[in-house]
Amino acid sequence: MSLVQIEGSEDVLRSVQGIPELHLVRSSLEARSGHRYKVAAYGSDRAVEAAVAQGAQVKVLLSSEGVDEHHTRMSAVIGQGYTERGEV
Amino acid sequence: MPPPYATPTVPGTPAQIEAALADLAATFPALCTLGEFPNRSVENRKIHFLRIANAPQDGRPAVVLTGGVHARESAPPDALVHFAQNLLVSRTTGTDIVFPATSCRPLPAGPAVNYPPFTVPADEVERVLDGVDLYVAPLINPDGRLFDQLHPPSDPIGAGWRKNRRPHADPARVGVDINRNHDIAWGFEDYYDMQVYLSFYQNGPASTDSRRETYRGPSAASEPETANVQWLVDEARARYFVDVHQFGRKVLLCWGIEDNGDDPSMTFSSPAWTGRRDGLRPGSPGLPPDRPDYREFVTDSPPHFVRKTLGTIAGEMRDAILRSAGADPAVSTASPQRAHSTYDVGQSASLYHPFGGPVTGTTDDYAFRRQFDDPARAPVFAFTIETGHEEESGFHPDYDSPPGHYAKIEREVHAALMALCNFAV
Repeated sequence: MSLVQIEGSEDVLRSVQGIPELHLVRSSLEARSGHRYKVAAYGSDRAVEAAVAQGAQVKVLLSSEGVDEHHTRMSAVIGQGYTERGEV
Repeated sequence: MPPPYATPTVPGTPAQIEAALADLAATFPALCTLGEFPNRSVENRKIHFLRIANAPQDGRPAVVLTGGVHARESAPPDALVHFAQNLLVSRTTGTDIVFPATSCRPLPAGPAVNYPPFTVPADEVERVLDGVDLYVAPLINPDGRLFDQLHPPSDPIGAGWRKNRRPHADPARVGVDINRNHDIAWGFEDYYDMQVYLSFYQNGPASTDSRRETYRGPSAASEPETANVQWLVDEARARYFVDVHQFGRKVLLCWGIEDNGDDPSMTFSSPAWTGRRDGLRPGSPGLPPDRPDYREFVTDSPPHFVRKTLGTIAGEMRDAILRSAGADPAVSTASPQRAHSTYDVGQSASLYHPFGGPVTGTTDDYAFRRQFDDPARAPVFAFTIETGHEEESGFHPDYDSPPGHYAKIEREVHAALMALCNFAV
């Protein structure tokens, strides 16, 4: 799943709301000039493609590989410390 | 001499956060008390909070700060622990809280934005700790946090875990959204006219489907973690309440259930409005023609002027964040620091308009309602801060510097909460 910014008109963003495997982050919504909106989202590659097909401008902030790598790396570091400290 | 406490470079586990709270209570016994919530988590973990005060409450306003309600939102619990640490060291040693100059590289590829040093003067800390009764509860949902930390994105959307860990035989149905579970309009079918609400908005204010991220739970305050927040709001007699979340650079004021209004007959407890509140914005084409546009009452009369004061406090938090970034809130000169540190102030109810409507069962709305349940409690000023941004890695900011995502968020949390505490004194 990538972390992306999606920008478009109200109609475009309404249409992308229904795309499966696309999770819009409610608290990230910003109104932009020209009756446009920006929202962040986590989405699969095909969901991102579908959003583009609906007319949204999409900027990838972290690719699927980047999201996975980041979380996996942090989980490993946290998990190692958790195990070493014998936490429950 | 108490140790300096460094900015964390790895998100703290629930056990580490608990240990940090216990350490503070042991290191600063004259200033700080460790409190235990009455309910263990779903997975049977004890959960603690700190009371930071050098005297009995005795009329001083209580400021209650919470974090870690949503599991994947990594930064708030660590930022709240470090906030408590910094306050206590400063008050004990008489030294300023100093954040050195730093830089943050926003996604996807920078360039890095440089921020000047940011200082909270020792005399300001002294004034705050002498003037308020401060409660810091950094991790309301420890089970969820640990699950999110130890399981690389295992949810269908890859964003991380949000809910608590209420068990279910079906793994897809585990968990309740604590921030939809509080006893304020939890039964949204009774609060709203849902037909009207859904005539404009695609989704409801919470979900009744346990597979969903916003599942409200089987009943109001069914979750021990929710009951703990509600207990603390009442136990402390909170006058100021802030729930720290991620992400979106927002300072949100109550209500979240409806637009604020000035008609005292329009209240959440009024049976005359059961199932008839529209949940829509003023002027919406979906508003029923046979009834007025409902707006949830918030007093704006003397002596507290609650509605106006909510906006004032939220604005001060926003401005403090800008100043901490080296931007002057009174001057609108564009700069990278301003561009990447401007928090929007708004009401929770319209946070996601026009794509989503008001929401129900939130922590801040619960705190806010208490002044209407008991007029002797008035006033209560309640907020949610959505810290960080998608360009700071979203729900899981990078704790390394560079890129400096977590470090930037932590500065902003300090600035905002000091502004709130300064107002409260």
